[in-house]
Amino acid sequence: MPGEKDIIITEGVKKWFGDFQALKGVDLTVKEGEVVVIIGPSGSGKSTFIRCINRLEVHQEGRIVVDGVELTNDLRNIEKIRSDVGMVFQQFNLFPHLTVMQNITLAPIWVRKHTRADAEATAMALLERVGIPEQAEKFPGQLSGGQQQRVAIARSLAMEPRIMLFDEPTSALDPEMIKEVLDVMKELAKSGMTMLVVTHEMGFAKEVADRVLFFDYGSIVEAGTPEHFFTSPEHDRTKLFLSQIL
Amino acid sequence: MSDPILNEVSASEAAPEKPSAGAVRWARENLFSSVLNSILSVLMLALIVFFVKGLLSYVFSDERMWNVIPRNMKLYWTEAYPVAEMTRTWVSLGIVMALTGLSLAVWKVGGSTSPRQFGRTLTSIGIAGVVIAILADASGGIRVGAAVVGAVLIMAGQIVRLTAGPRFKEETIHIRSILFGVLVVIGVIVWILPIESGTKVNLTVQGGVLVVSYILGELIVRFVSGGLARGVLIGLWLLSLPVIYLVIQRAPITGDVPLVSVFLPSVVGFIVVGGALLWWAGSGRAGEAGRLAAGVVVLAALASWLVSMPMLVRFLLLALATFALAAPTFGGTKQAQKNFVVAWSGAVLITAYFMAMMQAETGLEGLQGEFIGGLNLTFLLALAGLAISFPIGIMLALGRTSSMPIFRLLSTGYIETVRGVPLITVLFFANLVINRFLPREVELDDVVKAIVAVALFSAAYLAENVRGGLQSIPKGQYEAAKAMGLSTVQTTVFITLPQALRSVIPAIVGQVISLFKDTSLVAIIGLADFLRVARDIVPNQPASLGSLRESLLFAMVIYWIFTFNVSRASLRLERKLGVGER
Repeated sequence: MPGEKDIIITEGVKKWFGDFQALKGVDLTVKEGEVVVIIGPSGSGKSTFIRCINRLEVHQEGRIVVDGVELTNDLRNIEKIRSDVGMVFQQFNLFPHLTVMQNITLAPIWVRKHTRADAEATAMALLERVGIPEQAEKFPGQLSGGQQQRVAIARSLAMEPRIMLFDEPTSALDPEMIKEVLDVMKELAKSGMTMLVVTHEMGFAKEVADRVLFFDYGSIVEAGTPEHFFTSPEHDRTKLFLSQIL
Repeated sequence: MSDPILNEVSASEAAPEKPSAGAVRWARENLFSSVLNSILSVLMLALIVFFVKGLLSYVFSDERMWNVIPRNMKLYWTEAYPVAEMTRTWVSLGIVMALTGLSLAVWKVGGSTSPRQFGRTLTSIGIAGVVIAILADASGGIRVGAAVVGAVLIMAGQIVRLTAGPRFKEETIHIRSILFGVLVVIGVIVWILPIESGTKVNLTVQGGVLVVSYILGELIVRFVSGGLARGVLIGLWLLSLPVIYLVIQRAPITGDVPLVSVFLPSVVGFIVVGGALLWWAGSGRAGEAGRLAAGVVVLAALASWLVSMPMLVRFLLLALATFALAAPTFGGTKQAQKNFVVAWSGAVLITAYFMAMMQAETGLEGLQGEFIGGLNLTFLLALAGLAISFPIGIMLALGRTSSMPIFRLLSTGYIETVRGVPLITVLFFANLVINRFLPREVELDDVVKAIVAVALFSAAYLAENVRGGLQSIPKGQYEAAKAMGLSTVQTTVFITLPQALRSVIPAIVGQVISLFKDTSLVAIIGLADFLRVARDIVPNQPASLGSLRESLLFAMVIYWIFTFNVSRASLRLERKLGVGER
């Protein structure tokens, strides 16, 4: 359940790609332990928004404060925040030339400066948690899509992040593999992790989310609890979107 | 369910024991499938026969002076190297042979093969012998000899195939047996050829060294982990080449080198003071001050080239600057700091060792300056050029893809300038101009200048290959690395560079092969490399006049053997690293 502390604060975040304005002033406050699911049509700016939170994209106007640190061009702030914010990508982005174990231990060893033995013990525990300890010595190319995404989640968790960002984590998966990834994410949500999830999985949103945001044309159109959102949406665009996908 | 097509397929699969029928069928399906194909096939076959007949008749003609080649082996091998010191080259070769034997065993090159494959290879060689007997316009003795050897090999091949029988899939022939067999054949040939008996003994000893080290390697793998053995071997290979060229083939006199007055204090000072600095800079407590200290060392390293200073100190300062810049990235834990300082001490010792050996006079009579030629020089240029151009090429590629404009501009400028001029001009430039850029007390050998030229030239091409690899890496890889908080240096070293190098192995191997062949251009600045020996020196020996074509053909075969093996090795490497599978 959400705590009292505000862990992510964004105020009036605006972002342009050339002439195209992707974000038109996004205000959002996320409490510690809260699970926020972001839905919306493609091109609505939802991925851009969560990529701004660990500064993979640079916002041009407004403020973003993560865990009490404001995102500016200061390199030290960015590296600190990135190591505290885990991210899971649509295309997994595992490192194909490293084994699963090496993928997971790389950042703990070189960024967190853990010893190799400690990092490997943690990695093994995380692989147990996501249900694939037997794959530790394989290369990503030898795993199924669902297994790769679970490794990617374990890789992010190995940095002991305070926040996890998920950018359409199941969109590149075959239908029969979606469930295994969602199960890991549900377990993670129950353990109290702060999560921002961009997804099209409405079932996941209904079951796990504390709050659902609907994004369209670069801003938040509607926000609310899942019950409110799926049973009595107020905005016309939300109704239209829900009628198209449900 | 009696499908006629299915039945036919299974029937033909059940009877693979009739190669002759298979061959006829294969020819009908592939060579004579239509009228046009038949005409083309016949035409091409006629052309091939024509060319092969011409080549064989030329090679096996009685007029050819092939005895020139064994007689001038020493010239091909080392050119002007003193005869009294030839033992040194044999020792060098022995080191290479020992390392080759160990490597073959430790890397399990080739593994094993099936008797069927082995039989097929024997048969192919035998058929080549019979073809020579039929087509070559040579004396009767050669033709009969070729026919007999060919027939024996074909029979041997068939016997191996037939005795292997239906179990050929399970049975394997270990690569060791084949290696030893080939060595015995080569040994017999060596003892038949008209060369000095001393050389025969030496070559036999080399073969023995190869065999013994191979067996030793197999024993070592049984007791030591493969990874450790491979690591040690790579280190030995890297060390062996400078040792061979600087120590064994030069017999350096270290009397003139200021070992006690300059080298000892520098080495101790840099290890102690530099080590302490690196320990502190890598501890994490240093923070910004560590980076500042690294900047000061960089400035000092650059300034040292402007004032009078021993070369050793200049190079050690440069090395210290590099290490200091890397310390915050690779330090952190106590263990990492310790490894880093140990690596630094090793770097200091190796640098000092090289500098001492290079500054020493050669101890060989009559060899001031030029100490080597022939195939030895070709290898030295290729290996040293490669070793130096690799790091430079990678730095240039990183510079060109860097987001910092000054690095991008410098790298692009360098690459485009060097790629725009022929190697010959770079060699001339190095030979005539390089000394003007160096402090007055430094006088470089022609060989060293040639190495520098070849390396700088090759680096530009290598840089473009590596850049291609860097640009083929998906954006997601950079994003994933960034999202985990890896720094730019760490992302490059651990994520992008290894993948980039893997994906451009074919291009890099092409560059290595062309570098190996381009070394023949050093003849233009007066060095006697292998091709020059084959073209100018051997055919002008009083007893070998008129042997230009034989000598050049021999050179061609030698170049081909090495480049072909490099390309085979790269194929194996590609397969092992799984290029194109991801």
